Amino acid sequence: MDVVAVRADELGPGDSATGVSSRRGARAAGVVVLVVLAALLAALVVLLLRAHDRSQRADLRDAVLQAARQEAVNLTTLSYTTAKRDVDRIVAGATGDLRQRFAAQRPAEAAVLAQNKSRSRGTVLSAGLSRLSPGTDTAQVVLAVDATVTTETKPGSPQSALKHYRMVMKLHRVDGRWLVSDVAFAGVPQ
Amino acid sequence: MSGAHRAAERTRVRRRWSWSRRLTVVGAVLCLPLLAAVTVLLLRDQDAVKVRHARSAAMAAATVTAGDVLSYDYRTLDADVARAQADATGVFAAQYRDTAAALKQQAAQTRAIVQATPSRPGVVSATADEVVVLVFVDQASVRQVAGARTPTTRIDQSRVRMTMTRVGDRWLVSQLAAL
Repeated sequence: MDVVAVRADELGPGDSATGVSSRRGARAAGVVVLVVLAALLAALVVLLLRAHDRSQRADLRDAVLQAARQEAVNLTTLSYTTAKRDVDRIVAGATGDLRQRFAAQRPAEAAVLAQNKSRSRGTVLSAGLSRLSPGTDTAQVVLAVDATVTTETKPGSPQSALKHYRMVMKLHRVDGRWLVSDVAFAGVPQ
Repeated sequence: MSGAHRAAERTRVRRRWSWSRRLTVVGAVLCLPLLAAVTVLLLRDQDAVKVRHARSAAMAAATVTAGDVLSYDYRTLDADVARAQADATGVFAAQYRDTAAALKQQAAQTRAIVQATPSRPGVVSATADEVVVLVFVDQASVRQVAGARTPTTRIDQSRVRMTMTRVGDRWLVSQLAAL
């Protein structure tokens, strides 16, 4: 039996000197593995949380653009034959003061459309996200929108014109839905 | 102590030993897939940071570049065209090169001065190296049309979609379309 310098109180019954040092080694290895595991698990949790945040933010970006595009189409797609339903659609996509203004304009809008038998059909050519707030509850979107406007100032001879719009929209997230709180035109519609 | 007692004691020690040693081995083996997962997630995280930076950098670059590329003055044509060319890459660089001569001739002939003011950039889509930006451009121009007594001034309001591509640490226009 080999004799290695070991403290007397470390020796238990049945211990050999080589037994103690290899048990020490095994314990040290165990501690190292535990520390590395703990560190990797912590890193994993942090990275998974960040990935989750990112994916949520990406979904929000898509939702904002989708809502902005839809309301842009609503605003430029109206017909004197379906005025009430068309304005209802616009009101439904808006929030705050803008919503109230659209709602209040319902009868006037219907009258204006009826006057010249106006019809408009809009398409969004492109939409870009200018800003998404860190709290992800407000956003700003710019849109390139074209609309074909048909009017019949002289009965029986409808005239069509292609309009080019540059829209700047502000959106608010309300109960999980993105609604337009402000819409402005950057310049005169061409 | 009796021999049997010592043998029993040794067996107990050996059993404790192999249980904790087993845990250590399992733990060590677990480290490998964990390390792989952490590495993949870390790379994705870094890419996402790059994309976030790309969005704001490309928006700012698009606003400046649209002005560079869409403005020119018949008195400083060579410098203006060179400046525009320096902001271009890829498909747009080739297109610009092809039309530069015609542009110079027309601008000189009509004594054209065009001032482009871009505003309101928005990101249509983004990756770490390529961002599509929508920007509104107001072009104020003065031209001397042949036969007219006075120069013609006009303001064109356009919507421009630009693909910004990262080249080194600069963002250049690789595609430009007026919508």
